[in-house]
Amino acid sequence: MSGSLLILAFFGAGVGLARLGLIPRYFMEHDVTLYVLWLLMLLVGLSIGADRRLGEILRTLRPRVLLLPLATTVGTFAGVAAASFFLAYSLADCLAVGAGFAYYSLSSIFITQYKGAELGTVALLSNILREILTLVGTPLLVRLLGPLAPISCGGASTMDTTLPVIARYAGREWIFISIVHAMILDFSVPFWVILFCSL
Amino acid sequence: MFIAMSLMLLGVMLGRLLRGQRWIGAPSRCIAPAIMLLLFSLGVAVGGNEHLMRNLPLLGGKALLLSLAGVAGSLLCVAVIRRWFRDFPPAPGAGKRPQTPVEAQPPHGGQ
Repeated sequence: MSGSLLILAFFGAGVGLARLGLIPRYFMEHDVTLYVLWLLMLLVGLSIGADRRLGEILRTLRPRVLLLPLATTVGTFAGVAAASFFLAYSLADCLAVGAGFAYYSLSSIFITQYKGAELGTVALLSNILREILTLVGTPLLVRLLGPLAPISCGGASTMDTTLPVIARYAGREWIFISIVHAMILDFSVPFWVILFCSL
Repeated sequence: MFIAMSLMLLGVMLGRLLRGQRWIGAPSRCIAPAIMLLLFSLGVAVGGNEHLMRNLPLLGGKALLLSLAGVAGSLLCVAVIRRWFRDFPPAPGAGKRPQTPVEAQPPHGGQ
């Protein structure tokens, strides 16, 4: 939670400073974000490749476990596709926003690069809201729909920010599936977002 | 457009090769500052754009609709696949007893 607040604070600081005209012209005119994004992707890849848990988790994986990230992906895409009928954005735009699976930082930056700042902002807000919904709604979701529900709701965030609350309310025995779910979604976020942005 | 994706795959391979090096944790610690920097510059792009600033409440509403729709779709799919997890002890050794989704009662073990 403090992570998302910090993210919102930095975003808000950028908005505020730009409104007050305190940003040097150089930063406004030269787009450095693309190069920082490339650096970020390399760093994310390095951290995945160097993680010892990756191999262990892949070895102990049962095919049935893959049903959960599949359900999250299919369900999210179906949901945002339905929502696209009520919005001015195209189906591909809505799918790109949904494909963040609460992984707001990476997806909103990609979408800003490829689709512009407006959709990028929607993606940032939408995916932060998904994480907040999970943090707040997990106790209720477990009671109504069982322990799989908050994991699916949390999308790619269920191995870090929302893992503690899931472990607390769904039970510690769901931690493993929660991490596998998030790792698979995490890895698929750039793939889906780039795909939908290039449609 | 695929440069970013290729860079990530390159990173995964490099990370795999360099696993065990003492400094390999350093790149992971740089991720958070890099994300902050990127979101700051996203904020600058939004703040410097009059059209976006006028429409921020509207954008927030659209964002909420999209997240609720995505979550609702996910939960519907979970209701469909839940039957295959009825006897599922997800972490070998961690689950003391098999817990069915229907029986699940939060929270475990009080405070």
